[in-house]
Amino acid sequence: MALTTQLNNNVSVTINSVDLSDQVTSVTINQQFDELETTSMGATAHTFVKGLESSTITLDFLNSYAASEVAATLQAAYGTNVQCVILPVKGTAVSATNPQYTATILVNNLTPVNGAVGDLSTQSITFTCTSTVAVSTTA
Amino acid sequence: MELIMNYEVLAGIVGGKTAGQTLTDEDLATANIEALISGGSIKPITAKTKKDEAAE
Repeated sequence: MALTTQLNNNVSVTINSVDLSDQVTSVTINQQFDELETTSMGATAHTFVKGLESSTITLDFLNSYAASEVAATLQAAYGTNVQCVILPVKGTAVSATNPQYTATILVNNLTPVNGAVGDLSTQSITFTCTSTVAVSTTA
Repeated sequence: MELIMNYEVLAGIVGGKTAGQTLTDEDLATANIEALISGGSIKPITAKTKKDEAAE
């Protein structure tokens, strides 16, 4: 079977319905849940069960201050829960080979001004998901 | 009478629409509309009733 790889250069990122893809340089979805320990007497190893989901989404942005761009979109949503939608290949239909990830994120930890003299202004934000990360393979 | 709000996209791509195009409440069902307005992404343009829409 041929190896299938994914070039990570066309990920679609939408926050609160605003397409910020062209201002995003890196996307990381960290799907995780709490691990609740159930180890009991007589056990020879720690045992755990799944608890609540506690996923995060980390996005690296190029800071931009125009309307509908990074700073304005995030500042307006600061402190609120908004929907974040991520599609691995922008412009391609949602499918089993291009699954869409949707979560509600709490907009927090903004660094709208960031960097030393001569640097490109960027911000890397890890958003806490306040929902599960829904994975859809159909539009 | 149920009001249906329309919004004009002012900049960027919002709900899959570009500047100058129109969005409805339904298009923005999962969005924080107040944040979109205060962020300059959209502006409300009309408030129609369902009755008005039926007459069009």
